[in-house]
Amino acid sequence: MDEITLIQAALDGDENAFQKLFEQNRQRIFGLAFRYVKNREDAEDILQDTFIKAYHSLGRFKMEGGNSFSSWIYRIGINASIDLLRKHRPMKENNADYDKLENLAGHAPGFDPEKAGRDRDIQARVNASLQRLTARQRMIFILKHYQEMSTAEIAEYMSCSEGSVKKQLFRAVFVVRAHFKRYFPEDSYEVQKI
Amino acid sequence: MKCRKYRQAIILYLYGELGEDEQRRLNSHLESCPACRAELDETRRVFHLAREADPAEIPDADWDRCWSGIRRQMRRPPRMRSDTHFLVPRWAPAAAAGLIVVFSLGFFLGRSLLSKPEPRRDEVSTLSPAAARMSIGNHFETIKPLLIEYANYDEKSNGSRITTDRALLKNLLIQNILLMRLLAEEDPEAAELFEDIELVLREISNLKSGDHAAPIQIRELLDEREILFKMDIFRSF
Repeated sequence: MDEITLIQAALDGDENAFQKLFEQNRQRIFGLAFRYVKNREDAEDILQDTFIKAYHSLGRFKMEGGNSFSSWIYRIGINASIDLLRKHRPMKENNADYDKLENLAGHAPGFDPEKAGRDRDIQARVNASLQRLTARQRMIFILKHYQEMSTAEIAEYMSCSEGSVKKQLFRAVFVVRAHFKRYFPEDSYEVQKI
Repeated sequence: MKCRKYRQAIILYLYGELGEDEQRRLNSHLESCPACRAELDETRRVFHLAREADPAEIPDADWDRCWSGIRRQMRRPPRMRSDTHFLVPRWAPAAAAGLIVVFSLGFFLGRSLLSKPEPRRDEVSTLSPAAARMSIGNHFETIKPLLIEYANYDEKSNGSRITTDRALLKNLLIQNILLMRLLAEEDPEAAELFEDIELVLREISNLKSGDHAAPIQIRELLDEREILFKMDIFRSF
């Protein structure tokens, strides 16, 4: 069943159709939320909030004009993430989720404990620097830096002008860079040219 | 162009978003400016480190538990699109009345916030809770018709009639910033609402004539951030 048929069926009260839409989009929303809040529990809350909001405003989704449900719900996910972070300030971080990933990796061939320690160090520093950003700046930084979206795409998803996205992005990068400069002097880690 | 502008250009360059002409200008500046060259190297290094911090893989969520949580909230059926919009008022007289409030409140708040170079928090909060509530109520009364106009924006019917009165917007922005400062400590959640309103006002201020996409973005921003709804909730408490 295509997306439009599923939406129409969900609007008619078919729960299974909405479940299909959930299954098709859950990984992408959860991935963004996890990168944003850095812990599984909050990311799951965001995932649920996103789909509950989407369900109750499904009638406002415009099916005509080539609009895609996945873009629409991604936008709801972005806003749900920002809302959660604002309510939870300061963000509760849970490195246990990263530990689990690392433990899994620890059993993999070629695992380098020294590199893992260094990555963990950097990870903690990145998280600390992200905490200094506002909820919107942080989202823009995540969308740009990790989701690799263009500023025009981010502007569309966040319903603001491209100029406004760039301004917030510059501010975010300056904050992250100032934080890194303080904690990672230039000679601490060598970096390959991008 | 000053070095500050080139520092912004460096960020766009590293993200692959700098146009050819701008890139040429940046290259020629970098040849003669060691400080900006150092800035480029440092930003590149930080970008690289930040990328390394990205988890190699995202864990799986407990999909069944998540779906059960969603399903529990799906008791009532999804709302169909409603044709009933907010009533669009003729808001010019209300705005004129509101401006009087803006100026008078701006005067009193301005005196308490700006008369000394470093106002202390206890001085800022000398406005009694009742007075603060009344000021917020007045601010919302003034601002709401404008926001409703954008919430109901329809390219076909509103096109050229959308309001972009710069002087009014400037006053509303000042008013909004003053109230946001007032609320920052007491009620962070309300302060977030004012932050959203500020974003919308800034977007409206930046509107250019003939730009039909921007009012639609503003309408979507109002809708997504549920600003009008949150204003009503805020006032009802």
